[in-house]
Amino acid sequence: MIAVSALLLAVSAPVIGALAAAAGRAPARSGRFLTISLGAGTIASTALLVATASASDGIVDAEVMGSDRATALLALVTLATATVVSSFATRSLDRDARTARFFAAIGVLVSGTVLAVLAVHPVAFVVGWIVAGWALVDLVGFDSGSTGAARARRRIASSLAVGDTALVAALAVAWVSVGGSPLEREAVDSLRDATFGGLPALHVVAVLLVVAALSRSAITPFHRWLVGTITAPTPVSAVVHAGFVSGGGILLIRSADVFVASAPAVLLAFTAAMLTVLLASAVSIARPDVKGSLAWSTVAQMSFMVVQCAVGAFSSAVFHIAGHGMYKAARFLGAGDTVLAEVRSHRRPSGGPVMAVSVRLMVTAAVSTVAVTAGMWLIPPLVNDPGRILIGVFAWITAASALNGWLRRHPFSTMTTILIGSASTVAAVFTYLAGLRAVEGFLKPALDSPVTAVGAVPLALTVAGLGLVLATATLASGRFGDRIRAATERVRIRWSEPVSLRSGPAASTTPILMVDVDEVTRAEIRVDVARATDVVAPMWPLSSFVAVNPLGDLEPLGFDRATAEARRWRRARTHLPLEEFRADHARGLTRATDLEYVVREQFAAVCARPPVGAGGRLLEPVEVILADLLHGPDAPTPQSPRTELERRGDPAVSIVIDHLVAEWVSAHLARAESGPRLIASLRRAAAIRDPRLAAVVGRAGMDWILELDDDPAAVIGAACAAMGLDPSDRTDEIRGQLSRLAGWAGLAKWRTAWAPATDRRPMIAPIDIAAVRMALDAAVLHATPEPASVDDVAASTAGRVRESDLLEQRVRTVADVLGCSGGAADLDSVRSVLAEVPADSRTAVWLRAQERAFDEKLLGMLDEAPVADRDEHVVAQAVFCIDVRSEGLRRHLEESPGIETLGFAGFFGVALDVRRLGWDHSEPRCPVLVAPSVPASEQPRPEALGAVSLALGNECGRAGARSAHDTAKSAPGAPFVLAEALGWFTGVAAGIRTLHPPRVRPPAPRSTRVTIDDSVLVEQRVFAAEAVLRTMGLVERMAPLVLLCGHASRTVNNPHASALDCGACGGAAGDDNALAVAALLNSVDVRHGLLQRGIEIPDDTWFVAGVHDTASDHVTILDRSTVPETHRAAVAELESALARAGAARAATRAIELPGPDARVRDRGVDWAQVRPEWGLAGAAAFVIGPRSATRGLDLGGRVFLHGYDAEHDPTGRVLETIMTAPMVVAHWISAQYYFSTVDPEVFGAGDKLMHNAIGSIGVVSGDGGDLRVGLPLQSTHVDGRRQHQPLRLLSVIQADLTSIEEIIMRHSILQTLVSGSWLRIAARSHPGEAWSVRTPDGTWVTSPRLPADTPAPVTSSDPSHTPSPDEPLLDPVLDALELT
Amino acid sequence: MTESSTTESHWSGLTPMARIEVVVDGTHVPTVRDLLLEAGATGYTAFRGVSGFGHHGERHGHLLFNDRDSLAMLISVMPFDRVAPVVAGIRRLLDEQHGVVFVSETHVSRPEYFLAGSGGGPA
Repeated sequence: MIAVSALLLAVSAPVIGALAAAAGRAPARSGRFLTISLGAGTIASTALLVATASASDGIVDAEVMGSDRATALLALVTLATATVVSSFATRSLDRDARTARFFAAIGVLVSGTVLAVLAVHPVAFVVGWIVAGWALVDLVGFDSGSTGAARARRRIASSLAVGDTALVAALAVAWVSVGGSPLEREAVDSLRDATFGGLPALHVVAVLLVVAALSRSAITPFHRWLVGTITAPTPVSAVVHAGFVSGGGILLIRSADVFVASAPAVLLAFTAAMLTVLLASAVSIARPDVKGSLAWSTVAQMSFMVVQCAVGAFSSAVFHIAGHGMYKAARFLGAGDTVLAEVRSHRRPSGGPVMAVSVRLMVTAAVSTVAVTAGMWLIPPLVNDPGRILIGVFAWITAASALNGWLRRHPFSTMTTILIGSASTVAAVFTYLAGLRAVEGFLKPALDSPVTAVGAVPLALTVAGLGLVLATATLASGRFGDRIRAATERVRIRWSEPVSLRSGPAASTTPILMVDVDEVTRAEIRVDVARATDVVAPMWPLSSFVAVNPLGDLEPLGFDRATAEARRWRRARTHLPLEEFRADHARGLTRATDLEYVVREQFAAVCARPPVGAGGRLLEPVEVILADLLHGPDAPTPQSPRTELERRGDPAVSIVIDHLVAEWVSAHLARAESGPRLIASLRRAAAIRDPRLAAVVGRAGMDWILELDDDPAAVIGAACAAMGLDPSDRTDEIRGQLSRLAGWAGLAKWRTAWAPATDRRPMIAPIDIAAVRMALDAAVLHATPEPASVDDVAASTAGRVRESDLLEQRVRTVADVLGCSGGAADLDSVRSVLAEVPADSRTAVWLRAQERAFDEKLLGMLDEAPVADRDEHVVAQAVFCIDVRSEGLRRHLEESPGIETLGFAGFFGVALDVRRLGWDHSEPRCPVLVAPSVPASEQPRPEALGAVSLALGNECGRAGARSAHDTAKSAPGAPFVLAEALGWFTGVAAGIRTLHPPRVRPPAPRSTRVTIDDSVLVEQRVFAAEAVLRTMGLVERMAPLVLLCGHASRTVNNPHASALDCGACGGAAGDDNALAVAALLNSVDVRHGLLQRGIEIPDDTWFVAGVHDTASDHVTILDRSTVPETHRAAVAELESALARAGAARAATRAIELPGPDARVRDRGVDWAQVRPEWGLAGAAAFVIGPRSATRGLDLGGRVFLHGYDAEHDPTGRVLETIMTAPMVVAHWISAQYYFSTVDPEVFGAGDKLMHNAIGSIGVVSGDGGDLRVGLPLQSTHVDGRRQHQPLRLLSVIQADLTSIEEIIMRHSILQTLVSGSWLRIAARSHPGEAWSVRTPDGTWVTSPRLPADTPAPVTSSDPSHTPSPDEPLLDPVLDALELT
Repeated sequence: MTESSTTESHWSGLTPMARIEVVVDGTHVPTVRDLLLEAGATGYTAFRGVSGFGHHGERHGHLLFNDRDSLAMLISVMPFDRVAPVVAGIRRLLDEQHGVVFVSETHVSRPEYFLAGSGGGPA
């Protein structure tokens, strides 16, 4: 009875969960409902498993449903994995209108899968099977915006439909022929004698079942659908790979008797699966992206499962489904960790070089092979049939590859290697086989049935297959190597990639003329490419994310022209849409007065015109413009063609070319060593006759590509000639080419212009990408005869028509709003005003108005900063990074008596090149604007030698384990046993990590020290120390204790982790710099040198280093063990003050972040958390001045604070340094947040749950394509709403206006930024003085407030949108962070 | 190359070569560097943070924490027949950017040092 209830609950729980999720009104609850229901299902299925285990026949029967031990185990694993995934998704998915549907679809998918496992009645089985498929199709369409997702969805739907049809047909045939179901054991005997349409019914049914199984488990010819699921959010992939895709295996297991009785069915399954194993493994290894590689590996794993079924090893297949399901779910959920893992594997602990396969490994392999083979013959209970031998072979391959991987990191002597290697390999194989044997013994009724129908055929085929692979491998290294490799590659591509373009230019066979490009032209082309890269920003690899202005190279054009270029080339939004500005206005982020002020400023001439008559009254022009701003229709984003092919060809071809080039670039960069340039990948594709290339450019195109020069400049020249392009159009054509792959071009730009010389990644330059992409376009265009001129005329006319249409719409809307929609004369009046206001200048007005409101608010607050007396009893000074996240911590820290805080760039002024313990390379720890010039290294503290060596040993152990895993994962044949064996551990670990996320601990104090190398002379150290102290303004009144506090953000499973680290340290943690500079300033030699240069550090002053973990707000003093006895008490006191301040800041953040408040500090260590902290979101201003100007004010974490005291800077050198470096970096950060917010798809990296990491380089969204740049959506938005208010940076300086102006005039970078309206400067020389604002034309205007004589704002009569000017303004500084 | 190595002059024992000096914004250094190396220069010398006065007013030099946003000067020496592509490229660059380029004759003691493909060639 209990058993039956458990069975029924296991089946119904996910259904209830799906219904509850769909009904849940609050999206937040949908996920929780589903998780709880699935959890109940898990408990029920555990009870079911216990029930089957205690039943002597192993069966629990409830008419329509039923279960044996195998299906109970599968149901348990499916439900448990789904519970974990659902809990993960509850925390990682943003809550918007689609959330409930998402969880409902997950619930339906799991319900269907469980039903297909536990249903006895064929109709129930079919319903479960088909419903699960529909749910998957719905989930993949979840991101309905992308064309990739739409394509994937179609492919999945059609592949699954074939399987569904085959399944229904199989059951129908069985029913019609014998009135039974193939899921029943008894059916096989009656089927054997029956016929259907003259064919043996048994074979018809069995073959149809195999087709259904192949379709569901993505085995050839249905293999292509699975990779499409990576266009859906990560949790979908996890649940699909963990349970759904195993459906084919489940079907074969459940209809085992019918299946094994039919030789054609077994042979079909075996052949298809064997072929898929080989090809999918090759594809999986070739894929540079983590999710693509995982998806193809699943295809191979599923084929392995079907092979197991085809050799009759059904219990092994059950074990495989369960183990692999858990393994894959954990791998997908943790896919965000690959960036960090890759970085770690580069920063390997020294302990010996990476070892190649050597003779001793071969000996080991030979010894263990003999031992394993002997064992198999000697222990018959373990090995009693051909299937088991096959699996034993795979187990051996896995153990051997893992051993190989381990030995790469832990080289032993020859004898030890052979002994330990052979013993551990043999032990691993037999432990595994014994485990399998135990599973087989447990599963009742017994599943395994030797495949009598085909006898030894499968085994013979297996041996033949393996022989073929070996032979191919041998030949590939020999004479025919190239040809065989090319043929295999071609087969792999044709098999795995859909070639959708059938018609088109491929038909053309006219040869393309190859032209010679002389050296002068090539040089000019190189410069053209350099100029064309202005539309893309350099993109740092995610191992060290650096925020940049995405329009950085367009800065000289000024903000307005640069954004116009970006709209043209990148097809991007550069401002918020009007609608959002209006919503902000309704919330009070702008006042009517701001809007009117800016309109009068920007359209002074129009506003000065006399009023126009309309609707029987006189309208001020400003009134008309304001009505348009508040109600007029928005302008569409321009879509004019950017490349010659866009103008003349099929848009689908351009997209195929983007994907091809993106694939080559990512494969090129994924290589360990630098090899030939990118152009070689293009030629290689032509040489192997890549079917996709053939479809796009045809035979003539490929022949032309084979003739291309090595020099990319020559390729561009040849492509221009083939396109018939005028040299004067060349730069724009290249601009268009690079705009289409702006992410990869940005990475290439970083590689050539910013990467440190020591970077080991393969070389790639923008010219390589431009050349390859352009060559393809040229080859396509050559065969596209149609002239362009006619289209151009039509397009430009259409553009003008659209513009005038829009004007008409604006005129009518405004006339309506103003109540004068009468005759043509009224419309003319309105039109006469609006014709002077370009449609896309309106968002610029709104932006200015928001900035004006913000500026007045902030400057007003600064005016009211409480005047505090100088505290004469300062016991500690704490120096923090200028980062906006320091502001809150500093404010709370200052509540403790006797503590002063200062703001300074978080690298503390020393451009370090740090080599950490165990690294064989060094890394820069300084802003990217400076070259690291001071070498430093990490050494163990003498008193902590033991701890350090233990830590290093652990690190080596982890590196070894990682290497063993990674080697086994990519060795041919090894991943199968690896996944099913490891899955039981990683699955449980993933479950614990998700259902019971860890609590964070404060960063540990460092048992090592970081010091500047001895090669740096004392004079140089003194110079560096002096520069630090003077720029910091810390030249007198030093407290007895000075803390230099760097910052870092400790997060897990986060490819964009480094974006949360210290920008001043080049996207790395700031602790090394704090340690090194504190040690520098404590050094006696340096203090002596400083004294001679007029800076006295008192003898009782001690510097300590700290780190602020911005994700948890824990602050740790890193070097407390070296603090002298005299300062211990002060340090302890400071630590407790820091703890209080951290807790206070965390409490504020709990309000700003979604989710439970109590866990706000643990978000960083929760692997399901996509939003560990808000980073620098909200950043809006940069204050250069003494802390007294801001102390006591709550600036809401929106302001960079750089300490500066003009009194100590008579020459202005310090101010010059601050304005030319930290201020520039702050502007970059502000611009990065601005553009990532206004266009999260073009300038931002999009949704993190779609991210698919490529090594440590970056992420793409879904299945390949362009590299994603900028900040992910989760850094700027929450639940579909903006978190960051996109404003340009306001720089507030307390210094003499003349000095500021002189500095601006001396530096073109500052002229560019200030005169180009990239940032605004407000200044005053002393507190109490009115603020002056620098206008772009170089004049300083005191007080930006409305002149007193301006008439009352005209729009105040509109109560629906504008608050009255007297109403208190919603405080943007405080309230923008809780946008509703 | 034959021409440059055979020309005798009163600089006894020295070989005449072309000396190219370029002053551009620091951000364009990678472009100029590529032009030089692709044309076959075996090396170059770069000064960052140079100051001066010209069409665009006073340009200040060295900054403490910003190596990029100031003028840079690159100097390279190469055989005469390598100059044309470099000059063509830099001309194109200076169409839109401010900066200057000077080409002059200079004399070197080890001509092979400046010939691509000989020991000191570009990496």
